[in-house]
Amino acid sequence: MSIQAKQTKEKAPKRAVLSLERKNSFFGYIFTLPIIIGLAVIYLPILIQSLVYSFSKITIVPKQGYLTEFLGFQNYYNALYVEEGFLRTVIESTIALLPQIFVIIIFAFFMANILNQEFKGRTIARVIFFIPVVVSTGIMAQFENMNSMLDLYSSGEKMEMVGGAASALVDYTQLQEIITSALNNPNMSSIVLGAISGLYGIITSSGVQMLVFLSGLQGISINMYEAAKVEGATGWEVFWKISFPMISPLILVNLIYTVIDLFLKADNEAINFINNKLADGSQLELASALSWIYTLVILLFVGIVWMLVKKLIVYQD
Amino acid sequence: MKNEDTMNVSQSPAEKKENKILKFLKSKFTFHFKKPRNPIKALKEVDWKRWKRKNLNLNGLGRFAYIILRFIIVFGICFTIIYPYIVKGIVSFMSTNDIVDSTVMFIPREGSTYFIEKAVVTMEYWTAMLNTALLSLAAAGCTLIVSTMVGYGFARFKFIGKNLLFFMVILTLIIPAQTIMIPLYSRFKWFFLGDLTNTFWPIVILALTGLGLKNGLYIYMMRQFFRGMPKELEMSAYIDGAGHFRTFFSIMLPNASNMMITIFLFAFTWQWTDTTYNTMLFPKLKILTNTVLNVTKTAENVAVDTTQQQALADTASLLLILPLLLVFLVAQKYFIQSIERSGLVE
Repeated sequence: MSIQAKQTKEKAPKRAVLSLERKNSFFGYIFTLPIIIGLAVIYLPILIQSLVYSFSKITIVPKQGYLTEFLGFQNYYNALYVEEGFLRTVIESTIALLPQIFVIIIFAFFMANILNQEFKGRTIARVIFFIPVVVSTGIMAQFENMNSMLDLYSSGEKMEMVGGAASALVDYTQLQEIITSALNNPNMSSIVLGAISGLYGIITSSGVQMLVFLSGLQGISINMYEAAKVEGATGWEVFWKISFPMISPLILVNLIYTVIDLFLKADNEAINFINNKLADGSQLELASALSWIYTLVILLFVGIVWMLVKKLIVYQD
Repeated sequence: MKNEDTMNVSQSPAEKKENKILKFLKSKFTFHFKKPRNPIKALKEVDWKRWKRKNLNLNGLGRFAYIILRFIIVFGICFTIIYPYIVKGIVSFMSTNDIVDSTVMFIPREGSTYFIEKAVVTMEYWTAMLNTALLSLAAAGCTLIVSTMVGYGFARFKFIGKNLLFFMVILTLIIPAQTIMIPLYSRFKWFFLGDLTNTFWPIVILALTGLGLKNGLYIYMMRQFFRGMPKELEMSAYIDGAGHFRTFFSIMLPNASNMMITIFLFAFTWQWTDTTYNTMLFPKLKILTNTVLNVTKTAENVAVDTTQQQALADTASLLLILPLLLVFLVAQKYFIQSIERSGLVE
């Protein structure tokens, strides 16, 4: 065996190795060809065009397209100072997102750990947990924000004896008092209360994160757990010394996904603001300036999260 | 109480005890070249471990309490998720009198299909559903093909500019669709083959070039999946003389079937409810996300009282997602398997 290996080594000239690499890289381009074409032909030109639009005045020429006239920073000035509601909306919605991000990550992590355990009815629980991922996105998120019969049910207007809905399981005002007195800190208690009243929203928007954590947990080799068991580690130790460090890279992935998801959600107020401007159609250049400002906010936010969390993460290799 | 006592003993450094420990440790460590650790600390650790083993293990009562707590949490969350759909389902079978009758709880007294019929008519349900199904199928199919290919390319090949390309893919996820909406609209409105707005083509073209809805996420998922597959599989295929495409189609794809079903499910259902491109690219297309808004917009429906409007909206939204729920229930087996098997690494 070893002799054979030696012979092939001696025989194989350097050129052959290079050509294999070159062949590999050629097929790399072939496999990623759709996205290369998409980016080069559609996405990047459109992105640049959008940037140009945000710096110019658009006039619609029938049957031909848009005619642009360079304006400079006029649109951005309008977006920030004339359209004053926008900046406030962006800042307010961003601040409202912050606690949600952490609650979603913690919730997803916690639930993934529970769903990873063996118990009766686990399959059914898993199926139910992922119904919102599939169903309540896009227009359904908007519908859930609208008035529905559910509000009547949970407010007790329709029937007082039915304490069915999650918000009506416990009397909300009572809960509010308990939490405010227990935490003794208005900021903390408002975060906790926000999390409780938004429980449904958190469940619906943490599905993908749960999925990522769950597949991460499944990917941990059983040998590690067995070794820990032999050494006499308790469940608590196993969790903090094995499960947590092993899936910590996924926390970064999930954090960034959560940030993007919350910023781009159809019921985000800043997105709604831009959508209204787009649907209006009379100030397209203003709409593109607004969306570029929002894009920069998102990029900045994602960048900050990435820089902050990257250092905390343990990589296996 | 007993445990607290032992803790206290270890914490209060009694001299007698200390000497005893030192003696014990000396006898243990004299033959070692390593310096013995701080004896007090060592004792504390031993004691703490003993205490923990006694009290923090999940046997008996603690285990039982944990199981109960877990059941409450899981059941509560499942209930919170299902409850809105149950209410919607019940409301859609109520009559106009039932919804204002405060004695009617979950079982409608009269019961009628009034709201369902009305929602079906105002939504133009069957036409719209067929169109939506076609659109979602086309989009999901194209997305699946593209993301599988591209994901494999990213996972297994080295080429110049790969990292930059991947960064760009992630960037398409981050940049809101609103930013590119106006030039996108102008591209498709004045496309060289004619006006493509209000057709399926924009979605199909975007999906085929990997720019569809959340396509970056699917590419990322596929890349992670293929990275987790053992390289030996491909190596043996190459040695047997299979080319890159043959290996991809006959070795990698069959193994990725669960993941592919998951991605198809996501692409299909997210396209079904998506509203990103509605207002600009196909406002006149008869798809469910457009027609469902008729329920709240048409003058005939606005005229009736708010409770009826709410009931109608509930019925309409339930009808909107009913096909999705069915698809999910059919596909859930593969979906759950894909969660369980994505850690193929062993």
